[in-house]
Amino acid sequence: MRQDRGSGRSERDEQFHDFVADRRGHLLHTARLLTAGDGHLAEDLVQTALTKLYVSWTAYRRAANPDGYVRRVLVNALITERRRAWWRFERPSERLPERADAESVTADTDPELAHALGELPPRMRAAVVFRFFYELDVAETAEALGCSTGTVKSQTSRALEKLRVALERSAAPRSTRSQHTTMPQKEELIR
Amino acid sequence: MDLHSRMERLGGAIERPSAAAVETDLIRGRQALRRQRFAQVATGSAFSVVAVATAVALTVGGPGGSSTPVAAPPPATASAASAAPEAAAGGVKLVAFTEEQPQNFTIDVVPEGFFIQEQSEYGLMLAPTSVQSPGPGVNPSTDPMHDPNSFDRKIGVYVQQHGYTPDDGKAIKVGAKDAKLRNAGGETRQVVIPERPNVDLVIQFDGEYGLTEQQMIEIAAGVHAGETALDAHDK
Repeated sequence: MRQDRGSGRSERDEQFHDFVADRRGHLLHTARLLTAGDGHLAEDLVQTALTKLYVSWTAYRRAANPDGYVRRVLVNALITERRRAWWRFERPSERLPERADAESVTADTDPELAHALGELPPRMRAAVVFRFFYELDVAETAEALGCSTGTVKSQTSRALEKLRVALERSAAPRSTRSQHTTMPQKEELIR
Repeated sequence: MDLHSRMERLGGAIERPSAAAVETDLIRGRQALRRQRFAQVATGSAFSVVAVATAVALTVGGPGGSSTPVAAPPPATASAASAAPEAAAGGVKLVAFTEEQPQNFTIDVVPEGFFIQEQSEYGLMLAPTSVQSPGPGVNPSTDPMHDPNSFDRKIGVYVQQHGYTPDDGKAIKVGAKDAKLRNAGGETRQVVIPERPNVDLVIQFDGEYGLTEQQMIEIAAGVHAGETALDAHDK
């Protein structure tokens, strides 16, 4: 039975309410992967994305590919959040962000994978999540990332290779790792 | 365990949100929409005032207060020369930035009524001066306009590694430099200027100021990143 939500709600409110109730859990799942297992940041992304969606609800409803529209909003939130992160890094904030539904599921679940994903730039991480995990085709992934299909192919390929190397490194026996004589190249950690 | 299964596990359980969480999302969305509509109304009002003032200035200048239209005076500066027609088209006037220049950047022109709300070693946040005196019904602690870290409805300037920049957008010239004008989602536009092979200067316009593309390019052409900011990202 449809829950009585009281009066004063617009059609947009009703539709958005149903959307959030139905999709929020899935969005959070995706956001946790996009943020390399950071549950709190994932919650921030979902809040930001949902707010943008509400504001652009008409555009979302008219979109030829609504799921693609949502993915694009989520990726944009991820990129914007990265910029905000650097502002926060440079200018420490006294305010704590809202943590309405911050999940306990975090990188602790699989720290090696979380670390490996965290070494990828956000768009490269998103490429591998959409292509490899959600099995979207190249065109759908390009739409979500706002880039060309060629970029998706190259980013996914590089991402999987980097993940493979990082995961093998983390899985290697201690004696093997101790044979490293130099630090990894900084660029490798960043890019 | 294979990679796909590990990612499935890292993503965590898919749970139905609480009624309170859904309600909070709805409230947040409604507040954002209200802010956007308020900003649009405020912007429209400001443009109306400018338009009326301009019309009055142009119609009362004749002998005995004649209503005969007269030609507008010529612009006084080079930047005003390009800004004048833009103001007529988009409603926003660009003016020379006359305040103290920030630490690692210089700015030549800004939309009239904008100031540097925040600066760091690697970036700037330009916001309307209206945020300095919030009106009734505005809560500075919750409105992103008042958060110096928020890009919401502001002009952000920052330096980033090229690897973070999408390769889409329209090819443009910013001064003598090849650059891109890209849509970053919604009403957000970015002018991306490659400063070095691995470093981009990004000027992000997040809002509905009525700036034309030409004005965005003109603002971008007047932004110069210092070596310190560029060096920090040139890895």
